[in-house]
Amino acid sequence: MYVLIRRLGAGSGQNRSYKDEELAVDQLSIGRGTDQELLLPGDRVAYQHAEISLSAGQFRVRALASTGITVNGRSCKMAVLNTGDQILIGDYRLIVIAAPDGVDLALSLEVLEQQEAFSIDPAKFVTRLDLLSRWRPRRWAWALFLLLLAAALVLPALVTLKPELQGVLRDTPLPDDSLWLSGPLHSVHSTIGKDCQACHTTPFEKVSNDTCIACHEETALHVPADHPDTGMFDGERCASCHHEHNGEQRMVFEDQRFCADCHAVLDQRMGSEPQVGRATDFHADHPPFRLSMLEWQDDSREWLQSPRLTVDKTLRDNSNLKFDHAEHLDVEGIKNNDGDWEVLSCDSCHEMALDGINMAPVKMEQHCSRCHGLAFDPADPTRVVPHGKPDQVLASLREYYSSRFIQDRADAGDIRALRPGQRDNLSQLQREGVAWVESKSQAVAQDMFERRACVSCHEVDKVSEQPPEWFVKPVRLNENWFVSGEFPHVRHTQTECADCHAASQSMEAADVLMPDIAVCQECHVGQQQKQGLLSGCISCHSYHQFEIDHAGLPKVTP
Amino acid sequence: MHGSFLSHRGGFWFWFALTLVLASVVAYVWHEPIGLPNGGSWLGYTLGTIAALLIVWLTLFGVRKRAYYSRLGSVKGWLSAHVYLGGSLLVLGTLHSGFQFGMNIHTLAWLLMVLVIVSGFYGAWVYWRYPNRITRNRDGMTRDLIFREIADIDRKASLIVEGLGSPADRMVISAIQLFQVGGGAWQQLGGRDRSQMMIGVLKEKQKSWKRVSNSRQQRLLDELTGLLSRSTEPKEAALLQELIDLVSRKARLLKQLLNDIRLQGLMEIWLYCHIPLTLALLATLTAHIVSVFFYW
Repeated sequence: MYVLIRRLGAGSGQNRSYKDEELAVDQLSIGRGTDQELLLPGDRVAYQHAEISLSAGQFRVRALASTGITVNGRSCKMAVLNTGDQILIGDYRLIVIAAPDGVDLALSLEVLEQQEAFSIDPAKFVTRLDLLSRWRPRRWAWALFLLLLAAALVLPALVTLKPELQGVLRDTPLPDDSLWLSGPLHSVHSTIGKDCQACHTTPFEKVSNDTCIACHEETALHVPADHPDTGMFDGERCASCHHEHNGEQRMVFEDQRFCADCHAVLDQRMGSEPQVGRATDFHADHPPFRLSMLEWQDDSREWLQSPRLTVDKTLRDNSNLKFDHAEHLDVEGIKNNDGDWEVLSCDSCHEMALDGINMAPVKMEQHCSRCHGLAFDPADPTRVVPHGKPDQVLASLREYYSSRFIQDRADAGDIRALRPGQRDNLSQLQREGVAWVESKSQAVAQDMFERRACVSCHEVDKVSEQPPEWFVKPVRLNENWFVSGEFPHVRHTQTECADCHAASQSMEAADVLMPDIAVCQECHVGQQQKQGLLSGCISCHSYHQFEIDHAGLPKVTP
Repeated sequence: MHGSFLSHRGGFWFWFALTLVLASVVAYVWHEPIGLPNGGSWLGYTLGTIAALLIVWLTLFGVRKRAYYSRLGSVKGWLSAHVYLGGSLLVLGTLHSGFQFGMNIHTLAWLLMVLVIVSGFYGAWVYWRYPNRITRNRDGMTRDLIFREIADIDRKASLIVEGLGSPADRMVISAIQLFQVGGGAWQQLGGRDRSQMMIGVLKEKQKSWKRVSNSRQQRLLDELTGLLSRSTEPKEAALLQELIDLVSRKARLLKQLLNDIRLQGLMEIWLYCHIPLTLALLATLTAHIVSVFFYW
């Protein structure tokens, strides 16, 4: 369609100037966008404000913008146009005028005067539009900054820097250095309370060992005080291994790397020859067990504990006992004093000591005497000698046979009276009796010590012929196989004794029944492994191992 | 030249930050500290140092964006790095903590850091999405233009009611006079309209005028529609119809305007949290760093 646009200029009525422009368009688009057929540049006009189209012989104007259009004073979305109709778009007025020949539609266009279109000041109804204009974020940001700096830094620091303010800050709700607490103290240290200075004595300095030792002065050392390489430990801190402020979690971390960083390179770290092999992981990198043995000294008649010895077939236990575990553990049983067959198990003799670590000592009276009676006279099987020193045994025999001699003579009516005037106080009868009792007692004692009773379990030396004298070597079971390790039996009650100790195959007490490291490794793996019973060094070893009170144990020879 | 700060330089800072995050996560998983993971292991100190330097650098964005003559990279590049490196800080700072939290300033510093980052994420989101929504809502108009359109409608309406008389004139004029836009933060962000108008009420057979809410011109439209339905005179009905047309247009414009204020407000409000929280974080971070070495 052909559209004539008549742009009205200055003047009025017939004299008004104008400029015509013809457009050939499918439909007349009107707006401020540069792609519009009729460009109305006013800012109240939308980019695509309206369009005029021809359909069924009628011209229709349609509003495209939300602000709409006004046709003949009425706001509308759509209107049919007839000659003389007025369209207001923003500050522009279009009037449909009579179309000349060759033109389908003619529109006059004029710009309305500004004050006519815009007479009310928007400021009249607009209240504050600046968001939060009264707030001033920067001002309260700096206030917050200073407040937090004072509460979180300055006041807590004053607790240390100005001791006279300590009480004021700590006893009032004012912020104090408890805000700096990285975590709660372990309950063993709860008596320290809020007194951070108990350990943190000097600002910006690490907690020193002296503050720990001030209370923990009994703490044992890692190596003996006279060790040539004590210098290795210079600069080491208690806090390297003991981490506080983790609440109830262990203050000692079980991490094996605490130990491995030295024990991987002991030969380089130490000036002297290391006494222990390289160890960094119980499963992957740990030397075989070495055992400290009890050694009986015949000369001095005392026990010594040997240094750790390599375990092989030649290593024999030295308990001065004769014992056949295999026979005692026979599944058929073993004959007791009464002639009955009794089936024994490990715990028939071995009971756990109260400390839960070792086994309690085996006692003759408690564990052996039910089978191993100390009767000596077939005529009187209920009479026994005490399980004691040879002197006591002999004395007991002499008492028994003295009474036997007197009894025998009385029964025989052989009571001779002392003749008057007889000077010898020791009668013939007495001399006879003394000789008989002594020879009988010695014969029985020799039988017991050397052939029958004592020697079946004990090592017995005859140290003198006349008068006969025996020495029974004392029996002692090793309780200190592992010099620097500890095996708590109480924590292994879920396993059978035989899982670790091959007692049922042992026919001699000298057999070493301690398990190989591989037996432990069946369950215990090192911390390098992903699964299993992850066991660090301190599962068995203790760092603070020297000067521990080994009451009653023999001295450890170096 | 137009492009989002998010995809600046082909998302260079996104990949940089992602690499930083992945590297620190891998290091954290691989690292087996003696004892519990904490800020005092070598990795803890490393992550903490990087995180602290990042925080200081991120804060300097506020300085850089005001330094108009600075030639130290474009502000858009800085913003892109600010957003992505700020996001990576969430991971770095948390890994530095070793997930040890408590009632202390160390955790407070972490919490403030998280709040700053979360408010920053919100800011990045609105800067990314809202300009588009604001443009679409404005539909080619400016806020000023909308005011002028509304003023134009008000002028036309006040001319029309001269031919109608009471009660329409009283209602329309009062609706114009008691019309207000803006208000406090909640009104602006909630898109609430507290405009009012007067309506006539019969009280003990005495007619009086009462103020009622005219939120979004709805009440005025209801009243005018009521008058139109009771109108018997065609001329009066035509005027009322025209008034209703005008007021509906005003209501549409108002809706657009309130939306514009709300969207613009949401684009600004987060900075009111982001900036103060940042300064609070700086203070707490200082206290955190000083205190851990004060009580070493």
